[in-house]
Amino acid sequence: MLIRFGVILLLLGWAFAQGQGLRVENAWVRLVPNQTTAAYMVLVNTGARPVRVLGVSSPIAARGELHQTQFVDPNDHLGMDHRHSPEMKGLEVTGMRPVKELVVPARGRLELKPRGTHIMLIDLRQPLRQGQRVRLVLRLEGGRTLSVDAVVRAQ
Amino acid sequence: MPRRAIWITLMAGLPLLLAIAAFLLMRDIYQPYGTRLLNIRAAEANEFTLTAHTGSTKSLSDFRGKVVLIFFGFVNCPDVCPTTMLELGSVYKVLTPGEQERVQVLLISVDPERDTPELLAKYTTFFGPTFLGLTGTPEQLAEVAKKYGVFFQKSAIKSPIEYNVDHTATVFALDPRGQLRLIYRYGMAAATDRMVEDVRWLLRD
Ligand SMILES: [Cu+2]
Repeated sequence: MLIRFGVILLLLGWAFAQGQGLRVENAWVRLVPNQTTAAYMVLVNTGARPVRVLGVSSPIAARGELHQTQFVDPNDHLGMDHRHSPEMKGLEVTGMRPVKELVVPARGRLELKPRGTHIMLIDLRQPLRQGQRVRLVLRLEGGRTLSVDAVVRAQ
Repeated sequence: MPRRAIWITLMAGLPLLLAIAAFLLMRDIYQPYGTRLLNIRAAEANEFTLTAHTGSTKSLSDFRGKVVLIFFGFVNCPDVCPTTMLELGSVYKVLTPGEQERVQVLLISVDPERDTPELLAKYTTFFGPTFLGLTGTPEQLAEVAKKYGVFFQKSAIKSPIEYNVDHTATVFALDPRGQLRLIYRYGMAAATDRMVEDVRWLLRD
């Protein structure tokens, strides 16, 4: 009985260590000719509790950051040329902001996609190649990590 | 005999006339996908002179006879810029070689400090072999941006070389006469087929 209980505890601990049911689908890194790129993926949480991703690293880049592309309100846009026709006013301004964490809801998913949430890979150590496999390590809350295999795509 | 001649003329001419009428009508009723500029301003209002990634000086008027697609961006922008440039690359790829010769994609840098002509060349031509990157002094670029209602400003500044640039994410389409005709707001360039139709429409114009 005690042994069985011990085994269950061990299994539970193992499941916990595996990121509590956090799974990654369709992870890819965009092929670019320069030193900064982005990674995208779908994070799937099969667990009953939200999972927080606190950071990211990769052997291919000096630094990884969690980012969100968002609209920026340009206050001083009023100084723009007033001769513009109405169609040219109020065009969307976008920018990226670092985010502290990504929250994958319980029994839910979070999609990292172009023009949205993304992982930014800064100072690539080597030029990327199409089809190359890239390792990304997600740092989760509680000191756990999740290794992700991403593919470099010209997409 | 003359009656027969009239008959033949009618038989051959009528369908031709109808075809021409249909063509003209179609051309007029074409609803572009991009937002149309109702008050088309003079070509001079769109004019600029900047430094191309080739090192030479380029003006918008150098591209007369071509449809020009302009996007403002920068090399170290990993999300919105490559997404848009890839979309413009997809549009370009669908065009026939003859059409490609009459289309010019321009990337105007909003990060003149970091985007050297060499970097711009490598970056811009990655998305399309004939795509051209343009840069200039901060003053020159500010002036061009103003003409196009484009805003740009540094953000998340960590150091003199580590920062982001917030910028307007619009694609501007100019016709072969250098007139600004269509505007593609944020994300619209993703619809390749509609973009291609618009480019062809501007080429016919
Ligand atoms: Cu980013």
